[in-house]
Amino acid sequence: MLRLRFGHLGFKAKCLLAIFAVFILCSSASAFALHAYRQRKLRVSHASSTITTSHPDVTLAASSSFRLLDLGFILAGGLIPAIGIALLVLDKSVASRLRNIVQVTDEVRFGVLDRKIEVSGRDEISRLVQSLNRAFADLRSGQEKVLGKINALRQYNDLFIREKHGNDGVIVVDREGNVTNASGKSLALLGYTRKELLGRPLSDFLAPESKNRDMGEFFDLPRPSYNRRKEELVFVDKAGTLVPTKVTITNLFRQGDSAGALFVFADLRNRDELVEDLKSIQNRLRQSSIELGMKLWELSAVKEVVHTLQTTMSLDEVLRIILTGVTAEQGLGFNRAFLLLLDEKDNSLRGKLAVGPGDPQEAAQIWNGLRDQSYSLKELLKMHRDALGQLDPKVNEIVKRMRFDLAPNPGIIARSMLEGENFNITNAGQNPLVDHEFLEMLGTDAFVVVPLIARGKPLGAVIADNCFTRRPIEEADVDLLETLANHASFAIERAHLYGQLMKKVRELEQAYQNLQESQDQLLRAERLSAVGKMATRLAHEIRNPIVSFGGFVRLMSKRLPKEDPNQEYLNIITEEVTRLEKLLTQVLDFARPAGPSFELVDLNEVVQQVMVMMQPEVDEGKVAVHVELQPDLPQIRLDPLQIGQAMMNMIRNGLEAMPSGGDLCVRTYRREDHVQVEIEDTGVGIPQENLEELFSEFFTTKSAGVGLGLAVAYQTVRNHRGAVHVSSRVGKGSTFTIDLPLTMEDGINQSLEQG
Amino acid sequence: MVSTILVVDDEVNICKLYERELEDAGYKVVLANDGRKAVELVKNNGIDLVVLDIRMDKQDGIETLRQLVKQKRDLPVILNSAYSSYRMDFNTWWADAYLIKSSNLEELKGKIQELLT
Repeated sequence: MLRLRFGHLGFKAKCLLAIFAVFILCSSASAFALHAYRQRKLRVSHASSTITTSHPDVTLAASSSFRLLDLGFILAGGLIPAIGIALLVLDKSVASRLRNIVQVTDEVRFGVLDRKIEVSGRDEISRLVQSLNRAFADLRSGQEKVLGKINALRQYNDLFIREKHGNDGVIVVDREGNVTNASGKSLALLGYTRKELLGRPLSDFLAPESKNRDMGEFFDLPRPSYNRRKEELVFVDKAGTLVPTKVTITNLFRQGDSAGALFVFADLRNRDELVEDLKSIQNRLRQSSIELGMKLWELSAVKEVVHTLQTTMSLDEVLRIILTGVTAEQGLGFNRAFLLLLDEKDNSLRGKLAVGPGDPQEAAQIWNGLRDQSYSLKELLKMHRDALGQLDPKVNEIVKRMRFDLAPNPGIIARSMLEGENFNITNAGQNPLVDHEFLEMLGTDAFVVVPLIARGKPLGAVIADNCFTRRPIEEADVDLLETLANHASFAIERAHLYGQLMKKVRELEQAYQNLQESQDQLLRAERLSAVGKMATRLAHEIRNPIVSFGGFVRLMSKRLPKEDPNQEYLNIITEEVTRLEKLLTQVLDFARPAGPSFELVDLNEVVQQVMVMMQPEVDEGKVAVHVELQPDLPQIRLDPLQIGQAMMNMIRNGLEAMPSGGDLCVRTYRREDHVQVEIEDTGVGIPQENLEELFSEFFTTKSAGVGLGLAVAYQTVRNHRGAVHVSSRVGKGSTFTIDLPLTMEDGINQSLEQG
Repeated sequence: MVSTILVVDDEVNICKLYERELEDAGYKVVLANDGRKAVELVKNNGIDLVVLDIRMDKQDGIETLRQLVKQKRDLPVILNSAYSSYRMDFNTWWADAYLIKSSNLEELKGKIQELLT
């Protein structure tokens, strides 16, 4: 399909097309108008001549006059509007856009670079606008680059002027070799101020041998690739000192011509030192990387030991693993190691276990053997852990003899543990802190001791040495041993705790077993006791009938004549009854006598009860009884019946000493750690010679009684760990005192156990 | 002069046995089957010695002993029981003797004779 696309046409073509179209239109219209006019004119002339017919000549005459005059009219009628419209269109579509372009361009000219002209259409003006926009963009990026460069230059200049601490000095010279600029460092190196330097020839500051060189050669380098060269020049500073330098010279160009040169120079005076420094830094670097490797390797050994330590709870195994780790070549690699533990009871450090060969021959043998076997540390640790009972005899003999007092003068080993410090001892013989006996035992004067401390609690110490290889003990060895000791301490503590725990568990198990046994015994005893009670009751019930049965048989036997034949049978019955009674006596009467029954009582209450019981006897006589009890008497453990009986016997004794009346005073009181009962009478008194025998059995001065009363009282009080005192004056009266200790509980228990 | 002995026991057969034996031994015997009756009997004088059982249904021997001692301090009392355990009770110590019952009354008779002389 055919489509007309005017947008593709250029501006000129569009204009021409428009003008042509308007011209055609307008000239057609003019032609039409002219034609119409002629036709009317013809009709008018026909009508007026009456002869007018449609004669071809007439028409022809009319046509010929049209050609000349009217062509101009038609052309004019088409051209004039066409030109007018063309002018209008031009102004509208071109001039306004051009004005816009001029305005934006002016703005750009005044520095507003981020402007852009709008593009419309694709005509020549649009193309102009596009290229103008591109130019503006270029301008903008160019400006940014320039500003960036200016900034960089400014910064560089600042640095250049100020920098004094770098290694290199910088001097700029012009084409003639005069100094135009100098960096701060270069001023510092040469000792001049900038003012003194600027404008003067560079050769003024060079030593004679450098001065004589043709300065021109510095500036005649071909550009651009070879504009840099290195030289050694000797400057002279302000004080006249020669300053050998290494210089890098860079030629400077301005618009293709040489503009001078840049001298960057380094002071060579410190070169040797610098080289040395560099070398030593390199060395140290190499050394520490080696050490780091070693450390990593050794730490992996420590880790292995710690890991193995976690596999056991047994203290013996823990100690063995630690010492194996310290002595194994794959471990810390010491020759021998001794482990000591704190003995709290003894307040000393005591040797427990040691690992290591006994003499150089054994050392060589063991180490060679191990090397051939090429065990890993893990295997070694496991081997030693499981090899219980196989001790290195010589070192263990030594370690068993190790004992260090913690007080009053702790030696180096004890101090290590007490102060938590490592001691790496080299000349032990000269060290006043090292015990000579210990050194002799050890057989070397270089050793290290590290403490075993867990959670701030000292546990012991490890001593290690290289007594066979004589390898010096390095600080790194000590560090590693310390690291191992830290971990080892926790393992030891854990093993200790585990041991204690297991002991407690065993105790608990034992206690539980005992409890079960006791329970069984108790059950048995209860059963026996029930049976026993029944038997006892039965036995007592049997006794009464047996007594009457046997009694009457005896009576019969007595009443029958001796020769009666039944006597024989009666005798048999009597014998059998006697046998039965003996049996009952064995069962019942030889039963354990009831011991004293102790209970915690108030002595005042016992006295009051006794006085109630004694009332009948008191009422009988003419004695006035006074009771004075001290209030708040402490309770005391005693058998109230026995002590009551003892008091009764003494009161009765007092009453009997006053047949014709008097005063009896019963008092209680506390004296320090004793409580006392005092029974005082105003009776006849006891003569001195009788006082000593007073408490012996069967002693009595009375007509009645069996003479046991006071003896029994005395014995009873003695059983209570107490004492009886008597003081007496003939004719005045006597005082009996029962003295019971407050703290007699233990004594009582003991006497009961012994009883 | 014939001494009068009071035998206190709630076992009738025992009383009868003691009565026969002690009468054979030449004493005058008075019987009581409980403690209260014994205390009554002692009030009306004429009792020289008491043989006292401890376990009795009505008022046991220990209480009876207390009352007897209150009445007559000098009256000899022999405790006579089938039980040995009362020996540990100091209330029984007021008595002049403590004997365990036996079909052989020789020991009892010996003690009575000892106390009455």
